[in-house]
Amino acid sequence: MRPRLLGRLARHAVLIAGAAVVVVPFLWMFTTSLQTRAETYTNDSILPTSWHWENYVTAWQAAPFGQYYLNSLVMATGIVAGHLVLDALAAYAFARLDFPLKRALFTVLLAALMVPTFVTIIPAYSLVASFGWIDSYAGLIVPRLADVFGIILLRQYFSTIPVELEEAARIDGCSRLGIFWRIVVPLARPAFATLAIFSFLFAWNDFLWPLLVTNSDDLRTIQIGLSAFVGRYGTSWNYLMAGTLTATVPSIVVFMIFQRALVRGIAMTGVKD
Amino acid sequence: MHRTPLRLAAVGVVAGLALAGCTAGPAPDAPVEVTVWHYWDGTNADTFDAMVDEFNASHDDIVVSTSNVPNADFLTKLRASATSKTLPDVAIGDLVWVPQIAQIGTLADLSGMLPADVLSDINPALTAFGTIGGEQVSVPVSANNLGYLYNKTLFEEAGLDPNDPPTTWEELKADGAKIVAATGKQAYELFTQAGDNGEGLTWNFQVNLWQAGGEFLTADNSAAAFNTPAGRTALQYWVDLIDSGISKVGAWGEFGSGNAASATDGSWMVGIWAPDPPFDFGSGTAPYPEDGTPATNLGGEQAMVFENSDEKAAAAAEFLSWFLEPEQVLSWSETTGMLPVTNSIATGDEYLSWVDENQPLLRPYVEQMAVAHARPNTPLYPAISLAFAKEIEKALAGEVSVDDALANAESAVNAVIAKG
Repeated sequence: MRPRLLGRLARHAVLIAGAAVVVVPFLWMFTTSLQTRAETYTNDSILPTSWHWENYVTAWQAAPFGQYYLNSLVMATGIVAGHLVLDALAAYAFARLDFPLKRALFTVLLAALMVPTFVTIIPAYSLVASFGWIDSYAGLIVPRLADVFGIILLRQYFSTIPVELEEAARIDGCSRLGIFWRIVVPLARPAFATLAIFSFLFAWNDFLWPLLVTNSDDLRTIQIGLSAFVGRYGTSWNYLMAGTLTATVPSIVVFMIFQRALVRGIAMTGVKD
Repeated sequence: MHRTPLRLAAVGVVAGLALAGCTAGPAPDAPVEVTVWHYWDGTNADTFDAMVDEFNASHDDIVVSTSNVPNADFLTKLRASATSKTLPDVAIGDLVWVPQIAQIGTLADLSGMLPADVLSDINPALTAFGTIGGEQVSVPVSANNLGYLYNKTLFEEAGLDPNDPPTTWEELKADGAKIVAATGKQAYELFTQAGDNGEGLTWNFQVNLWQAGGEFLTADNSAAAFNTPAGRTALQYWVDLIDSGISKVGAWGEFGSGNAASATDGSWMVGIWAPDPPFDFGSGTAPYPEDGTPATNLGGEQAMVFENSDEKAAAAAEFLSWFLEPEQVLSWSETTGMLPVTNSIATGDEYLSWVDENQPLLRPYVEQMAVAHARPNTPLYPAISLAFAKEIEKALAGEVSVDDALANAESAVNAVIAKG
């Protein structure tokens, strides 16, 4: 009895410590978001000492955040969709089709993964500018519709799906695209869920590219809006934290939605859909 | 989840493509559009936007639009835009950026474009700063400077008159010793660490350097000029303050959090703190040596016009001329708490009586505009500032002597200049 109790205590202690590591920064953000500006500089308590809920309203009204939210959602949705569709098609080709220079092309893709974003950002900007896409949704979305990481992730997953399932479908007269849509996509749901989460977080949190290609409030995204609280003459930590907490909500929602698909997908692996 | 996310996503792609922007060209007799990028936030941004609306309402032939670009990435965005002819017509940025921005794009020479009486009324240190290669590449639109801020409560605890801040180095040392003895707290916070850009330390130090009669760089910005007796006086002052316990080596922010009794800080802090003071605070001019001269360091924003087209540059210049008219300078200064850039307003009764009535803490800062210096206007300045601070912080930490630190800083700064 005692060793088991001790074991359970130890396990809980570890779990509580782990949870604290995750929760404490959020708690601190929450506490800070409710303080006055002066308190954020003079008060270092992590427990709430004042409850200025109106900070959330002030932060929200400091800029057209409703529009920024909408823009971030449109951009993130477009990018996630692009990744799910285009990455998947490319990944399937690399996993299953035979075509000339397949290995070479795949190596080129792998090499592209190693090129840092900062190297390509100016050429990408010039290209987008030459299309007249500065300050447009197209400028925000199109250059990032496909990404190498997604192609590699999905290709690796597709390769693990038994070829027999696809051959069976073929015997039944299914076309290539039909196989992809009816067999591969349902079986690869956990991989799609993973990619969707990664892509959404990338798009939602991205700052530099949206900043470069947009000028007007009609197209600005949430992260650019938040950066306005970090002013040249000082940071409004309370509003920044209120705004940041609000901006975190969609990420958590997306994670919860796709996490269920991810878990269910894994539980059903190998079961014919 | 079935396939809903996929389907939704596909709809998103199509929608995203459909929304791709199409902008029509201007009609032949349409007003000239002028775009302005600035980094102001909060009250400053709101005030600027309201003034731009006022300008647009009173000018049929020009439409000014503004865009806020976060200050940390302002230069990055300008650099990207310069590669593709997508620069704004006007950039309003920190004064120290002007020489760098002059390299990013082609700036219009404003000397012939703004009325002479407007230019001659501007604080000469600010117009001199904006003169590069004989051309007026920038004009100031907003100003601030460094003064002395102090915690009145801690002054009282030390038995000092909370309405009589020190005005000289000697007084600051005497008051400081009393504060340390009575409160055990740091009496005067110095910017002792270079950090990753150095400028906090450097521009604070320049105030004391100028007060001691020194210069930071030679007049043509071609070499370090601070390794002189004046430089030694200034650095020795800092080292003495630290040795006597009046100041401490550490991260900046102790004064703001109430743990230090005073600091050299900017006029903008008055505007930020006044609505919600973290403690009862007062202001004074930057203390200077009894045998020296008063001086302070200028900050603020300068406006630059990119030569996108003659028509746009002319319209941009017209907007700036309007912004620098007495009425606008007055309304900008009163609403934002920034300091006026023109002498007529800074020394005029109307503004000064507004200050005394509404924001008396600004008074010492306004008076200092007459003794304000600007930092060297070279594009190498950020690198110079960091190189300087990295050597000087060693003297403050007690690792090297004052003489050695100045000599090392001199060679480091000259190396940056030689490298170009």
